[in-house]
Amino acid sequence: MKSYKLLSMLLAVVFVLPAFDVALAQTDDDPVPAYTAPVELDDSPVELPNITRKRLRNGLTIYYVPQHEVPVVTIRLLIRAGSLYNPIDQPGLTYFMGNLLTKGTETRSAMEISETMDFVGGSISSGAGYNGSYVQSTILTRDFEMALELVADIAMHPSFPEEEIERDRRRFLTNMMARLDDAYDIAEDQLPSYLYGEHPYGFPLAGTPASVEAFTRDAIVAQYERLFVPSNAVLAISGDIPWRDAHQLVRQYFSDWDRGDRPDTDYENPEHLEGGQILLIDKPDAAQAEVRMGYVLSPYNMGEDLYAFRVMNQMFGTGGFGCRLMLRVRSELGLTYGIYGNLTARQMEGAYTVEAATSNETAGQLIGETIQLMRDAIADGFTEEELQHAKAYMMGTYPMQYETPEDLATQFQTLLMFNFDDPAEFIETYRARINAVTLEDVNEIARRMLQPDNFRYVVVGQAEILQPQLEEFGEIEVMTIEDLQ
Amino acid sequence: MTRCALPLLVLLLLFLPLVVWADEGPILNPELLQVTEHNLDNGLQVLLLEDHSAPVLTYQVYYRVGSRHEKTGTTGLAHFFEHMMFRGSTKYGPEEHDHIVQAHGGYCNANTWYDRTAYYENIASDQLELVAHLEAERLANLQIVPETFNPERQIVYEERLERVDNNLFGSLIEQVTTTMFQAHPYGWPVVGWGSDILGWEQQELEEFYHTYYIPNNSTVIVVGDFDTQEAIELIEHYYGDIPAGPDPIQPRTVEPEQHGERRVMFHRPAQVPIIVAGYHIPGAAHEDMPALEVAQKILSDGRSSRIYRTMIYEEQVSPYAGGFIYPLRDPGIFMVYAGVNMGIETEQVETTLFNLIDDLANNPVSEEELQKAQNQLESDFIMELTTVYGRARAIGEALILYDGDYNRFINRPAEYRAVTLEDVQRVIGTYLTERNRTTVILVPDNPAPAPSMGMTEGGE
Repeated sequence: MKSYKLLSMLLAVVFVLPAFDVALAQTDDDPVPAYTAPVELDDSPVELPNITRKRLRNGLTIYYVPQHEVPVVTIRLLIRAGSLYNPIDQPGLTYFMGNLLTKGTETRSAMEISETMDFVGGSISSGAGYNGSYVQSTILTRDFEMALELVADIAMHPSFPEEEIERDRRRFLTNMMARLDDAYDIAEDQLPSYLYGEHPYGFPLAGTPASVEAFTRDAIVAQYERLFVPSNAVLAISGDIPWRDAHQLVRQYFSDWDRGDRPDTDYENPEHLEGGQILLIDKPDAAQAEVRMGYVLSPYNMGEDLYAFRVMNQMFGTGGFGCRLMLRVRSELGLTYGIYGNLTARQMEGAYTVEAATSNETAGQLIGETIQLMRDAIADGFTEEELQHAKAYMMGTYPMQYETPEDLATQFQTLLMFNFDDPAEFIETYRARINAVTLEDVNEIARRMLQPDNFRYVVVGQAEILQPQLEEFGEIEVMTIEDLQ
Repeated sequence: MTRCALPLLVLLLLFLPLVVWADEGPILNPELLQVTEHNLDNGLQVLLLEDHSAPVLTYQVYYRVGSRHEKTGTTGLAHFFEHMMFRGSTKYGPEEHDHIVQAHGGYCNANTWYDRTAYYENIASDQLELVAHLEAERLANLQIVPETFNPERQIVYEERLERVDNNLFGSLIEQVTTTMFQAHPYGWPVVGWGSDILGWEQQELEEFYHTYYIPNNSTVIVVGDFDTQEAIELIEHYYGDIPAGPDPIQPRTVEPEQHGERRVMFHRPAQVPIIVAGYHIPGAAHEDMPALEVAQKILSDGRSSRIYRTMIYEEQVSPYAGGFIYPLRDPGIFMVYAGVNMGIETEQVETTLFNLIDDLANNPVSEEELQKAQNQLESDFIMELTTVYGRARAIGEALILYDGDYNRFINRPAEYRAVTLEDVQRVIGTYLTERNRTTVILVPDNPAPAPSMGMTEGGE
C-alpha cells in the first residue's frame, strides 16, 4: 500500500495538469491554418485488431489480442467478483485473499514463485478491487508457457499457508496504522463509510484493523472457493503470441478447473444518505486540507444515460481537460493543484465525488465555488462550444487509449466486469454514440445527476481553521486521529 | 480529422519486429531504431524516428534546463516555466495551447526534473504541422504577465504543499537530498522552496525565459507515423526564423566528497517510523553506472530480491522496503528506504538494511543472481520501447544524461550484460558506504503501541 504510493510519487516527477481557457486568438497575417476554428469530428468505428474469442467447456472465456512488434505477452485472469462479495462483518476479506494468491500453491512456495518470475525479468501479481479480482503476469514471449502454467496454478491451486497469512496480517496492520499519519490516506479511508454507510462499499478495500486481525484461514479459503470459478472468469492474453499456440496451452492448463457456480451477492443497492453532513478530522499539523465531497448516484453501467453523462462530466468535472472545475478553481483562482469530479466505478451504485487538496484557509472557498459551479450548470446548462470541444477530445483520443494490446485486453475485461455484454461493439460504436449526444441531452443529465444538496463531506486538516468555514455547508462532526485508531 | 485505413505497406511493417530474442539477450532491429538527426541554423536539434505501425505520433521537446540551473532565491523556476508554457503566447491565449491540442484529438502535458524540462503531445499522425506550429509559437512568443503568473504561482505553491509539506515521503526525500548536497544545486527541491515560489518577480521570470528557452538549448524528438523529409520541412518552416541566443552558462559547482555519515532525526506527529538513506553515486554516463543499476536490482527488484526477502519476508521487520536510483547528469543519488513493523525497534530495521548492503560489498553474489538482475534490466528496457512515447522518452533522457550521445540508449542491454560479479561488489564497496551515506529517520511524536498478543501469535 504505502510502498506503491512512494514509488508512484517518485516516478511521477513533477507534472503540470493544464486546463484550458476560452481566449481569443489574435489576428495575424502569418499564413497559419485557423486552428481555433471548430474541428471536423470523426465518428467512424474504431478499427480493432484481429481479436479471437474462445470459451472452454468449464465456462472460462478467453480473449486473444495480437501484437508482434515487441516480444512481450501479458496474461490477465479476471474474476468478475470483488469486495462486494465480502461478508458484512469481514470487510477486506477478498482483498486479503487476493493478495495471498501468489504466496503459495499446492506445489510451490511463495519464494519459489517469486524466484521463478524474477529470474526471467517478468512480473506476477494478484489482488482484488471492489468489482473484481485478478492474477496477472507480463513476460517475454519466450517465457509464455512457464508464466501461463504459473498463472493457472495460482488461480486454481492456491494453498493459503498459515505462515503467509500471518506475514501479511502483520504487514497490513502496520500499513493501516501508517495510513493514519497521512492526511490523503485518512480522507480516502474515511470517505467510503461516510457515503455508503453499512454496505460492503462502505469500507476501505483493505478492511479495518479489527477485521484484518480476525480473518481465519477457513474464511479466506471459503471466499476463494466461492469467487474463483471459471464460469465467472475472463482470461485475456495479449501480445506477441499466435492465438492458436496460446489456445492449445490454455486448454492444457485450464481445462481441469471445475466449472463451479457463479456467486450471488446478498446485498441491495447502497442507501442514499442525507446530504449536508460533514465529517471533519482534526490533524493539527496538516499543511493542507484534504477535501472530499460526494453522493451515491449510479452504477458504472448506467445504460442509456452513459454517453450523455460522460460528455457532461467531461465539461464539468473530469480532471485536467479544460473542464469547469479545473478552469475556475485551479486556473482562475489558484486554489489547488488539481480538482477532480468523477463517478466511482461500481457494479452497484457508485458515488459522484469531488476531491481536491487546498490550504487550510481556503477549503470553504473551494467547496463554495464547487457548489456554485454545479448550480450554474444546472440552471444555465453548457454551451455549444463546450460541447463541441468535449466531443472532439473524447472522440479524437479514444483510439489512443488502445495503443497497446494490453490496454485493449484490459478494457474488454473491464467492460465485461460491468456487464457490458458486447465489448467489441461498445468500443466500435463509442465515437458515434458520443457524437450523437446533444446539448439538450447534457443539460438534462446535469439537472438530474448534479446534486449539490446531496453532498456529504470528509475534510482532513486543521479543525480550528476549518470549522468556521465549513459551518454554512452542513452539520459538522469533529473527530481526532485518536478516535480513528 | 479523418483516420484512413492502414495502407498495405504499413501492415507488412508490422511483421518486422523491433526486438528479437537470442540466447545472449535481446537484439534490437537497428533499422527500426535508426534516428535521423537534423540541425537547424539557429541551433535547434531535431531527432526523428519513423514507426508506421499505428497512425499516431509523439512530439516531444526537451529543454536543457532543470532545477540544476537555478540559483538560491529563485529555486523552482524551471518547474514554474513548465506551467507557464501553457499560459499563453502572442498568438494564443492562456491555456489555449492545451485547448487546441485537445480539440484535435490529442493529449499534451509536461514534466520537470533536475537536468531538463520536457513537453509532449501524443496525437494522430496527420497533426504534425499543428504541434510543430504550437511548440514553436510558445518557444518564441511566451507571454509573461502578472494576470497569469500570479494565479499560476498559487497553483505551484499548492502543488508543493500537496507533494512535500503534507506528504511524509515527499518530506523525507527532500530531507535526504537537501542534506546530501551541500554545494551542488541538486540539493534544493525541483519544485522549489515555498518562500521562493511566493517571491519570484516578473524580471526574474523574463530573464529565465530568455536565457533558457532558445532553439540552441532545445531538442525536438518525433517518433511515430510521419515522413522524415516532410517533418524536417515543417520544423524548418515553423522554427527557422526563431533567433538563437547565447549558449546558457552551465553550473560549475562540483559537490565535494562526503567524509562521514550525516543523520537527520525528523520529528513529526506520526505513529510509524520510516528510514530513508541516500548515497552519492557518479553521473549517469559514468562507467560504474550499469553495475550500480545491477546492484539496485539485486537489492530490491521483486520478492526474491535481497531487501524484500530478508526484511519483509524472513525477518519481518518491515511492511515495505526497497531502493532506487536517480540517474542524473552530474553525480546522482542511490536511495534505500524501509518502514518499521509494529513491535520492532527502528535501530533493528536500520541495522538489517545496512547489513544487507555491507554483505553485497563483502561477498560476491551468485552467478544466478547476477543473471537475474541482467534479465530484469533487459526486460524493463524492452517494455519501455513498446510505445512511441516510451521510445521518444528513451532517446530524450539519453540525450540529457549522456551529454548529447542519445544513441547510447541502444547499448544499454549490452552494458548490463558486461557487468561482472566483481563489478557489483566493487561499486557497492565504493559508493554505498557509511561515510558516503545520509540517513533520515522519521521519529514519530506518538509511536504506535506494542502489538497485541493476537497479532504476534496470529492464527486461530
